[in-house]
Amino acid sequence: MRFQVLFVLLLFTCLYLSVAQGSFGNCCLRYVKTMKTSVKKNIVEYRMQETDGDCNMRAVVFTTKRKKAICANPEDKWVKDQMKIVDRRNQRTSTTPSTI
Amino acid sequence: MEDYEYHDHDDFNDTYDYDYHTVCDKETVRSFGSVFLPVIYAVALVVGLAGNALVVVVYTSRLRLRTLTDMCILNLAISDLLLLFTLPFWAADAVHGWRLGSAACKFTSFLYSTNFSCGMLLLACISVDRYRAVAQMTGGRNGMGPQVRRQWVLVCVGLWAAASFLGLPELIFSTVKHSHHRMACTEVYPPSMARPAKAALELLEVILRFLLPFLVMVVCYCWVGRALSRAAGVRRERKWRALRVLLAVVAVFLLTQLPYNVVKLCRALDVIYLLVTECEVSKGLDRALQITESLALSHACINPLLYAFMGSSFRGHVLKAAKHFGQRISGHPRNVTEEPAVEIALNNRTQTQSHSGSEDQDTSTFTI
Repeated sequence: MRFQVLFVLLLFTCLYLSVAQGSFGNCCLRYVKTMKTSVKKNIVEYRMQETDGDCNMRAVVFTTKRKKAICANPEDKWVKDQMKIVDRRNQRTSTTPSTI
Repeated sequence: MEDYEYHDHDDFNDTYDYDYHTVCDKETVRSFGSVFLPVIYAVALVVGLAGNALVVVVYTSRLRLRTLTDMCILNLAISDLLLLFTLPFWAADAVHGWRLGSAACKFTSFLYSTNFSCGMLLLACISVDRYRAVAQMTGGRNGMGPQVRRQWVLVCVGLWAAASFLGLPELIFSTVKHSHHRMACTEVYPPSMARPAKAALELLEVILRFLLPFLVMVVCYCWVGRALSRAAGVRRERKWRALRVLLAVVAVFLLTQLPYNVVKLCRALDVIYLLVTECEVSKGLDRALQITESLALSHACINPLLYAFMGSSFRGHVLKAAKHFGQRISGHPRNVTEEPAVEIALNNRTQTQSHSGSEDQDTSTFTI
C-alpha cells in the first residue's frame, strides 16, 4: 500500500516537470491574400521564414512602421514585387540617413 | 472579420484583418516553460536520480545478474540516469537560453534522444524476456553458461546501437541558433528537405519509441498473464500480485507515453498538411507538447519503482544484500513463501504434460 501511495506521489511530482525541448519560435501560420496600397507604403523591411526550424511553411514576413508583422506567400506575384520595392527603397535610404 | 484596435491606425484605416495573418507570437509558450520549471524540476530530478542510482548500486553489487531482465533493468536505470542528467541543461535552456555552445547542444540533444529511445526499447526487451521465461521452460535461461551471458550482452549492445541510431538526427541537426533575443539549442534542418525530414523523424519516433514497444509489451504480457493464471502450484494472491505488477507496467507506459505520442502525431500531420492555421491552436499544441513530454519523461523516475522495487526481491536486497545471495533461486515452488517478493517459480510441465522428472529443468524462476 505504501508503495502505491509513493507511486502516485511520484507521478504527480513528475507530471509538473516541464522541460520539453524545442525553442517554440514565432511563426507565420497563414498568408494575407492581398494588401492595400496604404499598408504597402508603410512597409519598412521584410524577412524570409524558412521551414528549417520550428516553422512549417515558407513565408515573407513584412514589417510595417508600427512594428506589425504581416505574413505573405513568397510565391505570389504582388509579394515578389513588394519585396523588390522594399529592397530598392532600403538601398536608397542606406546611402542617405534613414528617417525610419 | 475581427477588427480589433486598427481603426485608429494610420496604417490600417480599413477593417482588413491583418492581425489574423500576423506572426504567431509564442512568448507565452516560452515563458510557460521557464517560470515554474526550476523548483519543481529539482524535486523530480532528485527523485529520479535517487531511484535509478539505487537500482544501479544494488544491481552492480550483485555477484551476477541472473536473467536478461535483470540486465535490462540495470541498463534501464543507467539509461534513465543519462536521460535525467540532460534535464538541468534543458531547464537552463528554457530559463535563459543556451549558453554552452554548439558541441554541448549537439551532445546533450543526442544523449536525450538516445536514452529516451533506449528506455522504451529496454522496456520492450524486458517484456520479451519475461515472456521467454514463461514460454521456454527448459534449458537456456537457468543455465548460466558464458554463451548465454554473451547473448544478453549482445542484446543490450544491439538495443543501445538502435537507440543511438535514433539519436543520430539530433546529433547532426541540433545547433545553437539565435531566436527571440536569446540563443536556443534546437534542430535546424537543411531547407531543401526540412519538412519531409521533420515529419519522417516524428513518425519514426512515434513508431519506434511507442508503437513497437507498446505492441511488444501487450502481446508478451498477455501471454505471461495467461500462463500465470493457469500456472499450477502458485498461490492465488501471489498470482494476482504478479498480474497486478504486469498491469501496472503496461498501464503506466500507456498513461505516460500515449499523450505525448498523440501530440507528436498531431505535429507530424501538421508538418505534412499544414493543418494548424490559428495561433491559439498552435500555442495550445506547443503547450500540450511541453506538458505531455514532461509526463513522458516522468517514466524515467517511475521505472525503478515499476521494475526494480515493486517486483523481485529488490527490497530484501537493499536491506540484507549480502545474506540473500545464492539463496534466492528455489527449485521448489512451495519454498518461496517466506519471501515477500513477486517471484514465482512456474512449473509448467505439471500442467501441460504432468511429467515430473528433473526438477531443476522443469521449473523456471519467473521474476517480475
